[in-house]
Amino acid sequence: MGTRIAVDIGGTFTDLVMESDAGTRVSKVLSTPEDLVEGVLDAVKGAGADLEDVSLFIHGTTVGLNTFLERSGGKVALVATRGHRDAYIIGRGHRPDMYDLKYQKPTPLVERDSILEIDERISASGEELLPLDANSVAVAAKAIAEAEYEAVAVSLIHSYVDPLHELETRNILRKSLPDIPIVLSHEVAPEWREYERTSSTVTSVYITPRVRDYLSRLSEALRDRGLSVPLHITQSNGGAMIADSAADRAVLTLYSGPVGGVIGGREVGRLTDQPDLICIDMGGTSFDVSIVRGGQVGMQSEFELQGLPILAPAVELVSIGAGGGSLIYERHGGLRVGPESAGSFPGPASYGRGGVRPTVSDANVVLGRIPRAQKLAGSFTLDRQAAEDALDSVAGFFDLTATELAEQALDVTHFVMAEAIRELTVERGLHPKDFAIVAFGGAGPLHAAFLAEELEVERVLIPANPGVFSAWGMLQGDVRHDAVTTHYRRLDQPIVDLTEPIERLKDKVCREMEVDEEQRAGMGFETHIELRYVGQEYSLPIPLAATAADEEFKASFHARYEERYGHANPEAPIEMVAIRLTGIREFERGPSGDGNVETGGADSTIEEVIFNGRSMDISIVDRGNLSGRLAGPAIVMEPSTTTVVPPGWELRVASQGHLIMERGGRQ
Amino acid sequence: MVRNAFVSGAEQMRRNLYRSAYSPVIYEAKDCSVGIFDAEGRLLGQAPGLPFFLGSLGGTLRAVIGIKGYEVFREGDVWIVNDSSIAGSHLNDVTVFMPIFVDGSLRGFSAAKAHWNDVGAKRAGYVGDSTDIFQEGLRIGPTCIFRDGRLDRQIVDLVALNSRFPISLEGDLMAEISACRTGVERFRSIVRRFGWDQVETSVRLVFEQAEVEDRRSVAEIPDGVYEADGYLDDDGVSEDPVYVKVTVTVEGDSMTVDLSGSNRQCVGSINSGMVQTRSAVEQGFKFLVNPRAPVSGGNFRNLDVVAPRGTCFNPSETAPYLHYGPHLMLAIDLMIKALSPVIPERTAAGHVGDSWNVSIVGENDFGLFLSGESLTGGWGAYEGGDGESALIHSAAGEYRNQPIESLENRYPFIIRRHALRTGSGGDGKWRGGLGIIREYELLAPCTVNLWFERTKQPSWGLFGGEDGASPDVWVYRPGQAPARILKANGLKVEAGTRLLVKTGGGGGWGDPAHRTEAHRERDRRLEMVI
Repeated sequence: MGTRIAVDIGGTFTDLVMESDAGTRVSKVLSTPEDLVEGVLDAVKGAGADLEDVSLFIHGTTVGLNTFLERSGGKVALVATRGHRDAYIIGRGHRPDMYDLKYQKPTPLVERDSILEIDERISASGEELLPLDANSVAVAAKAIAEAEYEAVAVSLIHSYVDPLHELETRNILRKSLPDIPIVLSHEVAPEWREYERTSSTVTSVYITPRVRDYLSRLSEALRDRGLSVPLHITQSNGGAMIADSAADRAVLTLYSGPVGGVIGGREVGRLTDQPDLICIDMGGTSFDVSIVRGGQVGMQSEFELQGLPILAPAVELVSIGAGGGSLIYERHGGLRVGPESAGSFPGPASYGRGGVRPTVSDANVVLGRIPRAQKLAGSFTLDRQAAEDALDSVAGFFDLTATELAEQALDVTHFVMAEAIRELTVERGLHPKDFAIVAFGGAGPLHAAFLAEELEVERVLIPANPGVFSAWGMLQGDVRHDAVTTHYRRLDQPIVDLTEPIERLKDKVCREMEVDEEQRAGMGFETHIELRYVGQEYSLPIPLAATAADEEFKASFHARYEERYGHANPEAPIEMVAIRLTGIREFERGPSGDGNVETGGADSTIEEVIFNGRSMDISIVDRGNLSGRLAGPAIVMEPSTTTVVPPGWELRVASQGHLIMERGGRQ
Repeated sequence: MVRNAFVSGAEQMRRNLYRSAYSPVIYEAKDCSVGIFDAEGRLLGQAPGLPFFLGSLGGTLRAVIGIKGYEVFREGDVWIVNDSSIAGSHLNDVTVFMPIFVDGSLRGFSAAKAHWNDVGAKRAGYVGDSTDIFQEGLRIGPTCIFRDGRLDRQIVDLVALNSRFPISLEGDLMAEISACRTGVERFRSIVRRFGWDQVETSVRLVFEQAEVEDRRSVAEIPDGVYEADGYLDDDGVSEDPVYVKVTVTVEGDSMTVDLSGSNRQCVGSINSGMVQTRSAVEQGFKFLVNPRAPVSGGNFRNLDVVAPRGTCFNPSETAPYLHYGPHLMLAIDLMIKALSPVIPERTAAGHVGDSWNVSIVGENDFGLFLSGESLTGGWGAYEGGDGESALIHSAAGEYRNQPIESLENRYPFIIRRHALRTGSGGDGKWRGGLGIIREYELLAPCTVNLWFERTKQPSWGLFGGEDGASPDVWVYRPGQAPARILKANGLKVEAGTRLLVKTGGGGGWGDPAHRTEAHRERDRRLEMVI
């Protein structure tokens, strides 16, 4: 097996993990925001990788998301059905800030004068109510060419039922617009709801020019350095696709960056026999949660970005502004933590770069939970006095000492984090105590045990190399493509054979994955049917068993519904709204970590650490020196993070260098 | 932490309700509210779908406690109530609540209120011409439907038998119960986590803090008596306008909103009970006072509401209540208008003033169907910004319009056009938002109900800004002359009928002569003006 490389670009660092027969190697270099390609190449150089030997190169990119967030995408024209050009501008008409007299909708990515109407109309059942008027398309094409748009989105009413008009429209537009991307709504999101489908398409088109440019430059640079296999990109759904196909489906890369962690979490769970996991990724500014259940990553089929809807499969991720840099402050007599952050500059007071406001990291520092010898971000020494002074400035409001305030502020932080986890569990009828926590990111292992206590979770996993875990996770994924088709039918109507639409979806997926017949035979397919009670809006995806008998659907739907909402209605009619299919092709797997963890190699020391108002002298152990069991209270140090083992917890080294921490030190 | 826990508990209740509800009016229109309350019915945390219901759940709970006392409640109970004379809104809004016991003591309530499609009114769809409550459906006083963990099937069957849509009725009821259960669980886990003493202390502090903030904000408004008045076109039955007068008195850190002088109880159904009247005035207050702060039982303690018995804001028990909203929305707008001269930085010109309902009833392959929609319109301009276009009215917040592709899949009509109504925003230094145009073509014979208010007094401009355009509705029936119809009750129309609906624009703010050329140029480029 050749060398396998994954690269993850974060705001501050670019991480690389390389697996080969010689073992696992990691490298961490500064990101290069002015041209991200440089950072990737630096990381490759840092790991001493020889690209000619590489059999898999996979990459999580934030270019799409950043282009959206910075509003630095292309100049996009939108072609719509006559009478409906304002669908995208009007949106759904709701007022989320319901007591705000001055509420403004999220700013759309195209303005009203960039939306052109053409004459055509398809009905809900796919009937052609009005044929496509080629002349009206030609008029639109001329206007688009004259105004020098960089890309075109086409979104016609009911195109998810019959895409013919969209396809014809592209053919006609193509004649006058030979060089710019033309993206069709039924290809991006073949689902009903015109605003959401249009928004998904426009977003995809909007980020396409920059995503294409970045991926082609990166592919070329890697090829020049000897890479002979295609570059793979992580998609929001956690699977990979080849970079060429990502360039045409940019919307699928929006969460390319953060999903590596949950895929890695699933793998660590597999290795330690934990099928149900809460994955927490905590860094300097944010805290991200995702769920693995029964070995499956929790997915969503749509999400919102800055209020704009996107229909695209993505790992379900709840993100809140709670990180090491989150500020601790007083407001209206109450103690608050975050979501505002001290950012990377000046950063926490203890970084000694002029920060004077206390942060979550500072609270950990004064409590001794980040040991004196720990060098944050691997480089500078902590200034404990500065942290204490900063906390004192807030402690006065509450008549507390700096350490008392620090513990209370961390209580607040853990509570806020627990709420984010409850959103993904309690709300769905799941109990956190049935899960294990997988903690990674620079600050995850510091807080994981306390969070576990808050949620009555008994077990915490700290993976090997938690500081580059997202990159490692990318290597544990597979190639994955999703396809969906709207398929409306009441289950009290005569049964329709689903074989044909499912085969069509398989063909589509295989086409997009560019696999041949032989490869297809080795692939896995997962099919879900979206069901709901007649009249409802939200549907539940029900896995399709080998035989597609309606009675089985119905039974499993009632059961899932009952689990989710605490009630079901076995008498009520059910309707099917969509078929979702995922094609999965597995990567060649590495040894899944070989215990070769980064290590500072320092000797154990004893330091004073505060738990529940009591000061204790506890051991600070280097992760590289761990063996057997370690009873809390104790602290484990490694270059990228610190693991706190509170009193009452016990830690042991599991297979391949991953750590398991359990309450009461049970087996 | 305690406050956040209650608020996020309520959020969980709401999401649960949306996801499991049957009726689009709940999961799309968000015509609902959920909350967690203390044993006296004071709010601990809530998540209203409709801002209009800001204070209605607490008010309803307190009214029920007033009638029933505390002794009737037992652990595991589920209660329902919809009577307008108690809850103040129409019978379709059904409140479900559960008492919460901790260690044997009643510590609080979990409550949900949601709009059910049909509770047995005299006709299917939105009845616009009722003249007493008996024409509007089944009245349910405070009734226990779950005791000792068992559902009383007989009561549920009785209620369901009185509906044209019994299956969705039961689904919506179960969704509300499920939301209440989530609230009970969260309440208990909060008490387990913090201990009852700590919860009680924290709640007292949260209430005190909210009261201080409300008082501080009102104290910044100059003392004085501020008035504004206006009227609705008619009450749907008689042709007389419905007059609304609002007198706001600010004295130190307190505010009184007096609705005396407003219309007598209406013959048609523009009437609201005291609980809902107070809830709407609280919403008007909230628009002006700390709009971003979370709401708790400590808020609105410095707000007094006066609505004399016998007016449309406090009618008799058997008055028709179906359109309990239009005069309240007008009253909210008038509160804002009255205070505009003294706190212009907190206010805006007149906005979408009505729910603008189109409801279409007919039969498809599966029996009776009912499509009910509330259409969006333009909001008022304010110093520093143009009003937003195509937004839902003030009484609703999380409402989402129905996608055309979803409507056309469900019902036999085609939406030919769904567009901004160019030129409908009131001119001014800052321009009012635009209304919309929606054109329906009916493919089968249907019964149409329409409710379009505020045509005679449209959304007003302020400080020299112009009024927004009035709403306008035209019905084109095959072989007949077009007819302008703003309110229709059970209008039977043929296949091929078209409805052309134009909703109103928002009012402008400031002298149009002061609008910058850059803004005018942009208006022309984006075709916001004719």
